[in-house]
Order: sequence, then C-alpha cells, then structure tokens
Amino acid sequence: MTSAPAALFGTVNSDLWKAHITVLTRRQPLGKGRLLRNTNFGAEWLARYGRQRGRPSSIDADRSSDRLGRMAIERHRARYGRFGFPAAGIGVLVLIIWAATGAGYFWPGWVWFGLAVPFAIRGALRWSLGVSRRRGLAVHGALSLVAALICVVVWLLAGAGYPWPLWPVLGLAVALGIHIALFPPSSASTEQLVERVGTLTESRKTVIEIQEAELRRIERDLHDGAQARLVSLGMSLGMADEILRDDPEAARRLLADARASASKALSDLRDLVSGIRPPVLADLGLQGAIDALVVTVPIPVNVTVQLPGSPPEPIESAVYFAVAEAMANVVKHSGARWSWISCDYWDGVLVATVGDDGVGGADPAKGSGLSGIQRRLSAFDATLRVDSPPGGPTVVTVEVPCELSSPKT
Amino acid sequence: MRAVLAEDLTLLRDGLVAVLEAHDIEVVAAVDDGPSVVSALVEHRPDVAVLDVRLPPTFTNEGLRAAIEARRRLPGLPVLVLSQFVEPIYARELLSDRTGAVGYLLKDRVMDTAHFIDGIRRVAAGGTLMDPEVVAQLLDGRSRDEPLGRLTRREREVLALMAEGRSNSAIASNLVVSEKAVSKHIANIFMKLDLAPSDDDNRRVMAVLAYLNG
Repeated sequence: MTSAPAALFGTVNSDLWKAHITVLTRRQPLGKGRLLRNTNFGAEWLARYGRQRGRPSSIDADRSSDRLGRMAIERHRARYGRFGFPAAGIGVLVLIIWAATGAGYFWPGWVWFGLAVPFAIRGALRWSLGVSRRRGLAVHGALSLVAALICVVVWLLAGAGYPWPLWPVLGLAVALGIHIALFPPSSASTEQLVERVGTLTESRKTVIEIQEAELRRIERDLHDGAQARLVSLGMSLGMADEILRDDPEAARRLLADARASASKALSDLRDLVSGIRPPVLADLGLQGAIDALVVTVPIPVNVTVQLPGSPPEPIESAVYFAVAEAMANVVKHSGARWSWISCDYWDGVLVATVGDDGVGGADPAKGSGLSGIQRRLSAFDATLRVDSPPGGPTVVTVEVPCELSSPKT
Repeated sequence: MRAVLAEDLTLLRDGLVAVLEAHDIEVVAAVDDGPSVVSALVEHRPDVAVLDVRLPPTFTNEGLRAAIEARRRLPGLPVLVLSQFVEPIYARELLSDRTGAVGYLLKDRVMDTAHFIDGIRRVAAGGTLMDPEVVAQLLDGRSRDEPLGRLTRREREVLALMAEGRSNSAIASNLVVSEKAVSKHIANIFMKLDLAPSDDDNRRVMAVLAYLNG
C-alpha cells in the first residue's frame, strides 16, 4: 500500500477509530461512560442506543447523555457532511491530473480506495450498531467484512497476482468463529429486556411507595394508639399517686383507668403487628395460617394446600393477605353457602385461588381492599385475577413466580 | 397449690412469680425455654402449668407444643396457656383431647390479677377457660352458621360465657337472669348440639369444642 491513502485514512478517520475502540471496550462498566463521552461517535452511539439498552438506575445520567449526544451528532454531521463533497472533488481532480499527465499507470484507483475506506467503515458501523440483537457480533462481523474487502481491493489494484488475501480473510473468519463460540446467543432479546426493565422500574417505584405508606401508617398508629394510651396510663398513675392518701377510693378508680389504658395499648399493638405479619403465619407457615383463618370463617371452606416447600417470607405474607382479603370479601359480599381455597406450586409459580358459590359481580376496581393487595403483589411480579360474572361464581386467582425452600421441620 | 411457669422474658417471669406467690400459689419451677417445659412438668407434676406460647428456641408456638406434649404424657394435666395473640385454631388444638382443665388467655388478662388467679384456680380444678377474644373472633360474622345457627341469641351468649369458663352462677349474674334460667339454656344448648347426656363438665367442654369447630 502506498503512503497517500494511509495518511488520508489516519487523519480523517481518527474519530471513527476512537469510536471503534470505544465500541470494543464498552463491556467495561466503569470506563464505559467516560470513554463514550470523550468521543463524538461514542456519544452519538450512547445517545442512540444507550437508552435502548436500558439503565434504570441512572435516568438522569441518560438525560444528560442525551443532550451530550445531540451536540455530538451536530458536530459529527457537520464534519462528515463537509467531507463528502471534498472527497468527491479530490476523486475527480486526481482523474483529471492522471489524464493530463498522460494516462499511464492508473494510480487514481489507490486514491479512490483511500477515500472510500472511511465511508465503508462508517457504513459498517452504522448498520451493525443499529442491530438490536447481538450487536457486538454484528460490529465484529461488519468490520471483518470491511477488512476483507480492503484486502481484496488492494490485491486487485496491485494486479491480482498471488491470492494472498485468502490468508487474512481466513484469519478474520476464524476470529469471528471464536467470537460466536465464546458468546453464544442469549435467549432474551433486547426488546424483551427493555420491556422488563420498564416493568421493574415501575414495580420498584410501587414497592417504595407501598413501603413508605406502610411506615407512615405504622407511625401514625403508634402515635395515636399505643403511645397516647401509655401517656394516659402514666397520667392516671401520677394522679393516683398524688391522691392516694387523701382519697383512696378515687385513687383506686384512677388505677383501674390505668389498667384499662394498658389493656387498650396492648390491643392496639396487637392489631398493628397482625397487620404487618400475622403471628400465626410466623408460627405455622402459609398452610397453617390458612387453616387458622378458616376456623374463624362462618361458612364451610374446603382447603387444599399442596406446597412442596415454603415460599420466601415476604411472598408468604403477601399471599396470605391476598387470601385473607379474598376470604373476607366472600364472607361480607358474596352471600356464598360454601367456598374453597387452594394453593399449589406449578413450574416455578405459586398459584393461590379463592372461590365461592355466591352472587358474583365482584369488581376489584371498586373496593380498595383487593386493589391494595394487587399493589402489594406487584412487587413480586405477581398477578391477581378476579373472575366474577354476575350471578357467580367468583374465583380470585393469585400467581406468584417464586422459589420454594425445603419444608420446615 | 403448686405451679410450673414457663416464660422467657425475665421481667414478665419475675412479675408472674410475684403475682402467683402473693396468692399462695407456689412456683416450683420457672423455666425459660421450650425443651425444659415438658421435663419440668413431668418432674414436678404441678397442680397447674402456666405457659407462654412463644418460647425459645423457635419463638413460634413452642409453649403450645409443650402443653400438648405434656398432656399426652400426663393426661388431664391442667394447663393455662398465655399469649400476646389468641388464635382460635390453637384453642381448638388445646381442647382436642377433650379432657378439660385447659385455659387459653391473652397475656393482658394478667393485669386483672384477681380474675387471672381465679382463672388459674378454675383450670386447676378441671375447668375450661377461653379468652373472650377467642370467643369474639369466632362470633364475628357467624349468623347463618350450622349447627350453631340453631341456637337462639341468648343461648349463644350463654355458650360464649361457658367458653370463657364461667360457672352457672357467674353466667346468671353476667346476663342478669336466674341460675335456673341458665341451666335451662345450657340444657337446650346440649340438646341442639346433639351432646349426649354425660358428665356435665365434659359436656361443657364438648359444647365449647363444637363452638370452636364451627
């Protein structure tokens, strides 16, 4: 190869090479952001595809890289738009010079080749970065193809002698083969991952909101309930202490008040705790807790719980509350004569259903009970389905994907 | 009277010992975990056992399990189980051997010392004592219930008080009726619940069980 095309290549395409280097090193998580923002093409790449790849934890960073990216695209367009016409001009000019100098050895072919290479690389990168699946492999393949074409063209321009390009092409093919072997295709497509990230971002927000609301409720309950009662208890005791000698009868009444306050404080605390995690659930697990629940239900309930192990505690609680709420609705609204609860585990999914032979027409959107349960369940990727045609029967189904631990002994 | 006490919290254990001893109930052993309960009961064979439901090592229902195990080994051993929470299903388990001499109370009830001591004595004498909270949870929403649905409102009130371990005279004064009327209600309850005539105490337990079994 002569030096003229190489020089052109080196100066005009330094940005493209940087972009290429960036693309190849983007697997390094820490260096990624900095490298990308330092190169124009990298910024464009990030702006275009970084969001698609989905980084839910840095939405703000995405936004700022958006702005950076737009600026980079402007610069990039300006630079390469300006380069297109001069390149064509130079191509024509060298042809004229060649014709004017006697049309000997056709050296302008080398100049054209040098001018074409950056466009080929740019085209290859554009195409391969636009691919949604296996982008790394696409970049590798496209650049290998460009390299192979360069070799073939150089061979042709040099007179098509000994077919040496076979060797580099073979090498490139082997490298591509190794790439495919080392990084087999993953099962999830980028679209699926993007969608998943969206769902997770949403559910995480919900979880945080639920947690906040729960903490606020607990704080308020403690403040208005147990705390207030303990204050009242202390006051009764203090007053009783003051008047004990002068008016024992009144002191006795105050002591009785104090005892009542203590009783009510305990009762408030008990209600609070059973709303967080019912003690019976901690004692007996899901199956036992459902059995305990059914004891207090005034209609016959057929319970079949067949779980090969225990779900994680938070899921156990959520499922228990869902079943309890559904059962409370059966008792309150359905007019059912009997009902059933079943709990199974199929294929990595815990399925709990509550059904009755009542009047039907239940709408989860109307009462806050079931929608609250639904929000609580969404944190675990769970779904709640209410099937309740007018006239009945009503079936509430909860499905939670989860792992079960080995049965408690 | 001799008692064995199981409670893991020192503060409450000492308090309970003080309350019991102040009422002439000798605490022959005060243990603080599940495994020691049964052996202490078998060793001392007390007149009554007072057990906290939640004990080490599992902090779940260790005390309840110990009570059931001890009564399996010493049938009819009077047991009073205390808990921060009452679960009707636990009440049912405790009553399931149908020998009576069982109590199941919220810990809060300890504050009413006189009532609490009276309860212990009644359990020791073979009575059944269910916390009003158990009864309230069971009564909640029970209107179309069978066979309890056959009971009149007054009979259900009597049954609830029976579950709390009240004597006929206590039920009479509570409902402001004569003892004779109470006896009549109780006879009706037994009849409606298909309880064959037998020893009165046992029938009372059976009635409460029917109540708990829904």
